[in-house]
Amino acid sequence: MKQRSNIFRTSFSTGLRQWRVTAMVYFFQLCLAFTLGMQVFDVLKASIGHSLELNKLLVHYDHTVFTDFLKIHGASITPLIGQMRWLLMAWLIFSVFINAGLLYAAYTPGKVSPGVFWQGAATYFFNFGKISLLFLLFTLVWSALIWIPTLIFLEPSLEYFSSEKYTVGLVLSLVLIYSVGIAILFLWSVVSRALHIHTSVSFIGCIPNAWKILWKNRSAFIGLMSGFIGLNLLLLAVYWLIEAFTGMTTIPLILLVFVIQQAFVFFRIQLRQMLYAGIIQLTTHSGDSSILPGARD
Amino acid sequence: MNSRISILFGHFLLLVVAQSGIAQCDPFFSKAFSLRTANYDINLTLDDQSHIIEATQTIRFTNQTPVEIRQLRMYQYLNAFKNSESSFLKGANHIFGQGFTNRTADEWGWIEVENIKREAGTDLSDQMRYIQLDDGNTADQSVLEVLLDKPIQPNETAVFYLKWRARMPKTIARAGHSKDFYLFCHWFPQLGVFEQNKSGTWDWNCHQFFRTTEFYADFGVYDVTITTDQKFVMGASGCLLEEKKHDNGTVTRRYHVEDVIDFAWSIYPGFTVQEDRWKDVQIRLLITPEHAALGPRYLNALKFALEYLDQHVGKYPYPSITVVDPPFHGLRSGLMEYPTLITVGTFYGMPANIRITESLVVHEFVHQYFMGMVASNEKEEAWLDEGFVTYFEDRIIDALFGEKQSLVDVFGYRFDNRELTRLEYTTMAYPREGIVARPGWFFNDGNFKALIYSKTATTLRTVQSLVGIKKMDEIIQTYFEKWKFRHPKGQDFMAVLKDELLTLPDTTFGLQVYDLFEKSIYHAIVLDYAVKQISNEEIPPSQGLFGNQSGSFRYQPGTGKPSIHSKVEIQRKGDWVFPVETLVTFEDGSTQLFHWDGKEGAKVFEFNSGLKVVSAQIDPGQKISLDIDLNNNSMTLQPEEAPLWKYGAKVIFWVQNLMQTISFLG
Repeated sequence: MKQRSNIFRTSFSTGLRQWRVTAMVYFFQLCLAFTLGMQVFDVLKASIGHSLELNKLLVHYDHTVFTDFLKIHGASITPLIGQMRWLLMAWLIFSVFINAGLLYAAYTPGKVSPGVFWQGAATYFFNFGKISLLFLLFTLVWSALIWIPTLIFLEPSLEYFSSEKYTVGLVLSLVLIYSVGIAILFLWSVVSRALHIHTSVSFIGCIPNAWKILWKNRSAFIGLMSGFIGLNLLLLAVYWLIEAFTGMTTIPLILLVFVIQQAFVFFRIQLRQMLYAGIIQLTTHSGDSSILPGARD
Repeated sequence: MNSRISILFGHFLLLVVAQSGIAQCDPFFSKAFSLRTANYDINLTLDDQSHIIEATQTIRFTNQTPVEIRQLRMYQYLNAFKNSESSFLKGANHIFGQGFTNRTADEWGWIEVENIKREAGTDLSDQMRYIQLDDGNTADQSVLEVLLDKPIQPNETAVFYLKWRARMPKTIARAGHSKDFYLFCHWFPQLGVFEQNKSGTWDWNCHQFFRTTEFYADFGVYDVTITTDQKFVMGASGCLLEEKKHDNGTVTRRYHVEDVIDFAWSIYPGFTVQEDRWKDVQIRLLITPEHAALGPRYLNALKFALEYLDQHVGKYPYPSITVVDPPFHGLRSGLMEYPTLITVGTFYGMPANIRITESLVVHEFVHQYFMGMVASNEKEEAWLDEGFVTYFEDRIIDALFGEKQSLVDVFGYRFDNRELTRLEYTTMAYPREGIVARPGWFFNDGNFKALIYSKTATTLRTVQSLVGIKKMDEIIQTYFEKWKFRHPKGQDFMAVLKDELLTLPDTTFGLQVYDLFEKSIYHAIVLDYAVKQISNEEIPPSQGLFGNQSGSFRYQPGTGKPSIHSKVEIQRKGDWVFPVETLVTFEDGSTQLFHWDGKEGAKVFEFNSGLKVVSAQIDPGQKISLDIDLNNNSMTLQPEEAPLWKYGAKVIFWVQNLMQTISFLG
């Protein structure tokens, strides 16, 4: 119990001390998201920017204004949706690079300079890319295993059971099982990378060893992951409350909520870095030399 | 005399059964509301293993017309589910989004009249034949004609005795069974309506069964005795008069209902019953246990609708209303209206701020007025019931839960019933697709709801906005009082509408509103007005040489304050002409309202007031909901950028979060 609280404490302090690294990642994200946000701004301005109906959007979401806009000007939004798809695809690849930098920074204890991030990102990008591809494949297989049968049997199950509550229960259970599976795959993937940094063993060798470490310290990993999921959910709930409470009805309030939104995004990245620090700590302190051959001290 | 005896007998029965606590409603009216043209006594037994009904039926039909009737025509709608070649199923592979093929022989349904005899004993069984007057599809057996041995004379009441069998199909559309849930609708041989057609000829109006048609029948009294297994909980049109359990595990229940056009019933062993009352009306909700928690939502919405319609339309005269909430596997029987019995539908755990549960029960209940009492021909002019019902559904749900949020209000995503109705019409891919006032079989699944339900309701809403809710209620009340328990046509409503609109102080305006309604229902045109542009041009003060003789010209340098010449150009983009108001706002906040008849394609308002125009808005009160794009109805030169920043910021935020989530995969 004490060890676990130590891990939490250390991961928090590492994450906080490395705020400059996370700020850099946040800045990349903001720049890319800004390109889309401003285009939406411009499309709205060019299409209904001079309509008095627009004012209704300030107080509340207005379905009529939005739907009339989409019906007449939907074609101007379609390219943006396509653009977002490509942006996310590119970001997925870029994430391998960013994750390498973040993990390497987390591996380096204490306050680190952004140079450490770039160094780690450049060093481990290709090997992490291979790990990432493999785990993407695992994720696809896991998703297919869960959702293809669900899609096939969803409609018949509604006919088969006397009540739809059984189907609802089944689907909710599957969502839970799927989420747990995804969380395990995520942990396994990160532990593999941490192991690769720590031991310099080939990425193929790291994956089974990572599983052994994960299994051996399963309760600690579950606790760590649950804690960070809980914190993310808490953050989301706080954000919803703030947005609902303040509204975005005047320029100062819009500015205020924008700052809160950005703080929320920044904290999410910060939390990820803290999680990485925790995982690295658990990985490198597993204390089993058969699992960690060639570990760097 | 006969009716008095039956009333007395009915009251006696009520006294008896009241002791056992099963009767809380009195189905006998002290005087008939309708002509009671077609009356049915049915006695049946259901075998729920084979899904077969064995029935005897007496029809008492009175010829209320001035001509003699030489044949009967009856709906045999269960035969629509006999095979894939019926006019209902032909050409379709899905009904309500679900396939109906790959059925075993005993999953198809049918109805067969084994014999029919006239009161005098004449057997007419060999005079029966299926007819297909609508589409000539000889495989369709949804209408049965019986040639009579002798005509039914005007004012004569003829009695016919039928023996028939039917098998309830596995549900395809409404009628049938899903496991041990049953809905019995269109389930018995029912006469069409003998009336004068458009060409003035007296004939049966008895159409075949199509996917987009449902009801048209005469008013009458129904007395139905049903024997089923005791395991079933039952709901039916009207009131339960008797219930008798038998030693063989069956139970016989007798229901009675007066002045209705149809009779439906439903059984399911899993039903729980929630009961309530509104004034003298017994409300009975048959609901599955998993939906039981949603029962109060159904009941509250229903009582609100009863009160609302009582105030704004007229009295609900029936002693009962039964609401059937089918199990989810039987949902294809849901969302339907029958006299004093409606079927609804919901989903386990439906959140309270998604009010589909309430809107559906209100919609189906309003049908008790439009189609149930004002019994327009749903097959030929569905807009007269579905359009009116949707209009009142919007009014009731918006009154109950508040405008702009009545239907959905989840995490700031919100809209009301009326908005959804309008958008169903205005977001049609091609709103000029066709006219509303067409028989159901000329529509397809895609445009039926948008035109019949939504365009009609939006038109009624527009009329309401133009004439005021008080006048609108007067129009509806006049129509209801004049045509309840009768069969109005579209032109009958148009006549009421015109008469009422002509009582407005401004009869020209009244005729314009009438014209708008007529164009909306009987023409396929689109209404769209837009502010094209606003311009303010500075005109320099007078300058130059003034005077008549060159020697005495007066030079004026033009140094004063320039004047402002403003223009507001508005356009009629659609082909639907309707006069509109335009509100022009000047830089000092003053406003002017202008009227434009809309006859030309565009109109330019010009001003030399010295003040700049800052905005213009067509139809500032947004009375004309039929306008297919409300965003282009206004323009301002001082646009508010805050909403753009608000949504720009939101997009940035959610894209960042998406990226953040995606990066867990990288």
